[in-house]
Amino acid sequence: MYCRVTIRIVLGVMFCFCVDPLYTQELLPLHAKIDQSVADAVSEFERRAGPLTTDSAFLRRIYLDLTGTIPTVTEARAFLDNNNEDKRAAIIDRLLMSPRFSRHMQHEFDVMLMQRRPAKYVTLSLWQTFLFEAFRNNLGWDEMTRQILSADGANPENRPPARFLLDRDLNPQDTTRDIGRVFLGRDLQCAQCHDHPHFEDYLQRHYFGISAFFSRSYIFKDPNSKEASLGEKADGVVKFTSVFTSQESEISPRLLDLPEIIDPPLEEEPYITKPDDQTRGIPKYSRRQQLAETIVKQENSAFQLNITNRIWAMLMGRGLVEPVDMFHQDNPPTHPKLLELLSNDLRQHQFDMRYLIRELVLSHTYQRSSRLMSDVEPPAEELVAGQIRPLTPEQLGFSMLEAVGHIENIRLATTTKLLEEQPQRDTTSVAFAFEVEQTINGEVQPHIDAFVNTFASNNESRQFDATANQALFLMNSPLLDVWLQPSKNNLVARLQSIHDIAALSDELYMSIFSRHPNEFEASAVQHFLNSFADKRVQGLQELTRTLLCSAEFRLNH
Amino acid sequence: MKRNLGCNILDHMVSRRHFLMGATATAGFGPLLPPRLMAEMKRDQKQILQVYLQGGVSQFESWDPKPGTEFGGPFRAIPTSVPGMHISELLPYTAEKMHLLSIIRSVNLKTDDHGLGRLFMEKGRRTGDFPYVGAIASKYLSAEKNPLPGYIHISTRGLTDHTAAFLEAQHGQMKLEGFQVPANLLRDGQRDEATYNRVNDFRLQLNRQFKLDRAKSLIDSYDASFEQAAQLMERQHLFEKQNDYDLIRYGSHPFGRNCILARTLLEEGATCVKVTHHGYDTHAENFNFHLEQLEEFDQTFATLLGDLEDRGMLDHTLVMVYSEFGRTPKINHKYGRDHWGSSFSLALGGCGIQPGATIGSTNEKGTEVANREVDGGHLFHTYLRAVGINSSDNHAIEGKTIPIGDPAATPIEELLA
Repeated sequence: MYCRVTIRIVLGVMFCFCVDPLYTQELLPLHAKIDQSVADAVSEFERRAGPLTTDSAFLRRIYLDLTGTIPTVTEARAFLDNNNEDKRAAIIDRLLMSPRFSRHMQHEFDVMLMQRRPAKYVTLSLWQTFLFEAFRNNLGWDEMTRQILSADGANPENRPPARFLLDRDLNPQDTTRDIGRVFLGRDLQCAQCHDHPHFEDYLQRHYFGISAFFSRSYIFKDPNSKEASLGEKADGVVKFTSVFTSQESEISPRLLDLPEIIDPPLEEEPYITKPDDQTRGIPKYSRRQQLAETIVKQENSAFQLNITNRIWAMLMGRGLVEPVDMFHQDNPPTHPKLLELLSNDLRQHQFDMRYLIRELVLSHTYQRSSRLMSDVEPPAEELVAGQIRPLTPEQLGFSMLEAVGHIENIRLATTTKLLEEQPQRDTTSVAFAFEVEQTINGEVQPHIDAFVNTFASNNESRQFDATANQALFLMNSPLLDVWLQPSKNNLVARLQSIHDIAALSDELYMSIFSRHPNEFEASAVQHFLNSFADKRVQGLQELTRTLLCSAEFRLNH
Repeated sequence: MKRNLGCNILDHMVSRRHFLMGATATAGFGPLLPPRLMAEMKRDQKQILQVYLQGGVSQFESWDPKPGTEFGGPFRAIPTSVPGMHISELLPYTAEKMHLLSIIRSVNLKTDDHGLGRLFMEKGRRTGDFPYVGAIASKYLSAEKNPLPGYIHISTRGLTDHTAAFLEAQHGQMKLEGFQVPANLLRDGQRDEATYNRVNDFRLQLNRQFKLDRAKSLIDSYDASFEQAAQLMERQHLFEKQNDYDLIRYGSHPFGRNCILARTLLEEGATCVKVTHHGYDTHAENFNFHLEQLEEFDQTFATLLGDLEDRGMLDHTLVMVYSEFGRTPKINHKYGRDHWGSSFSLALGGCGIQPGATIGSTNEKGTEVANREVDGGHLFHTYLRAVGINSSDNHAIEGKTIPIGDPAATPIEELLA
C-alpha cells in the first residue's frame, strides 16, 4: 500500500516534468479535446465565447436532444432543486440509458435513412422496432449499416433492415444517391455541377462504382406469399460512358477512391439457388454483400466522417460539413482536425454512437448559451454560442403532449395497470420503464402523425419551415382543445386547483418551459387571466395554448 | 435589385382594353374607375402564376408535336393564333391564346429523376439548398405589408416542399390542399375577436421578450407564420362557394376550381401562386392519359389566361407552364412514355416575356435538342429577369452573399420583352 502510493507520487512527479503538451492533450477526455479544438479555431475565443447555459436551459436542451421531448414537470423540478455539482453529467448518463433516448434516435435515424417515404414492402412498425431496438442495444453504426445493406428481407429477422433497399424499389438512381448521401455524406448526383470534365469523370466513377454493387440485385416477389425480397444474379455488368473520354467502359463495384473489387472467376455452378419465376436467386458470390462489408472498412474514411458529422449536426444544429451530404473538396469542414479526431475516436469505440453523443453533450461547446453577448450575431461556424433550431415534428408533438400532461396521464394509468397485473414488479427497473414508454408511444402515435403531417417537409433539411398552415394548426386545431380540457392530473386541471398566482405561474412555466417565471412574467400571467374574469377555465386554456404557441416552446435554444 | 423592364408604365399596367373601357365610360378617368382597376394602377407589384404539370407532361403531346414521325404518336399538330406556330391538337383552347405565350422547345436538364428535375426547374441549380422561384418572388417582389402569404401552392398531394432555403421562412410556400377551406382556418367555439386579440398580443409579448438577446431570424419567421395565418383567417371569403359563371368556364373539376382560386389569390395580392395539376407520369397508356389530362388542363388554363389578360393582369404577371421533365420519344410496350429530361418544352408568357416566340428546337424525331439548348439554370435567370429581378445579383444573407441565379448560366435574352 505504502509502496504503491509512493510509486504513484513518483510517477506523478515524472509526469509533470517530462510530458510534452501533446501528450497531456492525449490524456484529455474527448469532450475536453472538442472544446480545445473549437477554441483554437477562433482568435480571442475567451473574449468572444458566450457563457454556458443556465441549468434550466441546459435541462430543456439535453432532454430535447437526447429524449426528443421536454422533461416532465417533476423531472424539471428535481433537476433544478438538485445541488450536486456533477448533476449535468449525471442526467446525461441517465437519459442516454432511457427508453426515450431509443425512441428519439429511432425518429432521427428513420428520417435520415428513409426521408419520410411511405411504406411499400416493409411495414413501418417492423422498421421502427428495428431502429428502436438497435439503439436500445446500442448497436454500432458499422453493424447497423451492415445489417441494412446486406439484408435480403427473405426471413423475419432480416426483413426490417431490408426496408432501406426494398422500399426504394431498388431503383438504381434513388439507391445509389441515398447510399452516397446517407452513408458517405456525398450527393454523387451533383456530378454534373462541375464544369471541369475531368472532375465530372471522377465523380461519375464514384456513382457507377456504387451502383455496380447492387446492379445484379432485383426485387423478387414470392408467387405464393406475394412478399417482396431481394434476389441477386451471379453475373451482369455496369457500363458507363465517360464524359471525359466519351468512351464506354465497364466498371466493377468500387467505393469512392478505393480499388475496384473484381469478381472471383465465375464457378461452373454460380448459384446457391438459381433464379427463376418461382425462386429467389442467391449467388455464391454476392456483390451486394461486398458493399456491406466494404463500406464500413477503415480504408473508407468517408463512412466514419459522415456519421460523425451527422451526429454533430443533430446535436449542435449545424454540421462541421454543411450541408451534411456535401462532403466535397470545395466545401471543406469548418474544423477538419476535430472531425478527423472525433471520427477516429468513434471507430476506435466500435462506432458506439452513444459514446460519441455523450462526449459531444458533455462539451462546453454543446452547453453554451444561445443568448448573444452583443447585437452582432457571431458566425455559426465559430461555435461561440448555442444554435437556436426548430423542434422536429416529433419533438414538437411529444413535447406538447408532455407539457399538457397528456403523456403523464397515460404514464400513470399504464403503471397502475401493470402493477395491478403483477404487483411484485420492480417499477424502477429498466425493463419496466421500457414497457411503460412503449405503451405511451403506441397510444400517442396518431397524434404524432398529425404533427408530422403538419410540420414535416419532404426532405431532411434542418431549415425552419414555419408556415401559415402550421400556425393555424397551433392556434385552432381542435386536437389541442381536447388536451386542454381539465382531466385527471393534466396541466389545466392542476392549474385550476392553484389560486396563488405565483404558484400558478410557476407550475405553468415549469410544465411548458421547464423554468421558473420571473416576476414580470408572473404578473403578465395574472394580467392575462384577469382579462377572462369569471371564465377562469377558458382563461387557463388560452394561457396554456399561447405559451405552447410561443417561440420559446417551438425552438430548441 | 429590380431592373425596369418597362412593364410598369401606366399604359401597360392597365390593359389597353380596360383603359378604353374606362375612358369611354367616364369623362376623364380617376375616381370613377372600377375599384379593381384603381388597385391595379396603384400596384407596381409583379406577380407569378406557375402551372405545374406534375409527373412530366409529354412534349410530343403538347408544345412540340412531331406528327407523322417515328415517335410522334397518334395526335396531329394544329395551327395557333401565332402564324406558323403549331402545337398538339390536344390543346385547342390554348392554341387560340398562343399569342400570349412563348414556347421553349430546347430544354435539356440531363436528369430523368422526378425530384432532381423538379428542383432544377424550381431552384435553377442541380443541387444544394437554394430557394425556389416562388420564394424569391415572395422575398423581392412582395409589398412591405403583403395582404397574403407571398408564395402559395395549391396542390392536392404530398408533404410540403422545403422551398425557402436560406431565405426567411415566411417566403416558403404556404400550401393549400385544393380550393377547400384550409385545415384549422376556422375555430370551433368560444374565441371571440377580443379574445383572439388578447391571445395574439400575449403571444407577441412573449416572443418579444424571448427575442431580446437571441438570434432573431427564426423567431421573426415564426411570428410571420402567425401573421400569414391571420391574413387567411380574415379572408375566409376566398374559400367560399365559387360562382357558377366561373365554374362553367373553368370546369367544376378540382383543377378548374383550383385555377379559379389561383386567379382570386393573385387578384388579392399573393405574389406567386403555383397550381399543380397532378398525373402526367404516363409510363403506361401515355396517349389516353394525355387525352384526358390535357382536356382538363386546356380549357381551364386557356380560360385562366384569358381572364388574366382581360383583367390587365398579364402585364405584371409572369405565367409559367412547366414540368420536371418531358417524356421519352420511345413508346414502350405499355403504350407509355417514360422519363425524359434531355429534350423537352415549356411555355412562358405575361410580364417581361416576348409573346408568340418559339425558342430553340429539337431534331426531326424529337430525340435531342437541335439548337439553343437551355437548362434549369438559364430558365431560372429568365423567369426572374422577366419580373424585374436582377438574377445575377446576390442574396445578402447574414453577412454572406450568395448568387441569386447560377453564375454559370445566363437568361434567354431574346425571349425577354
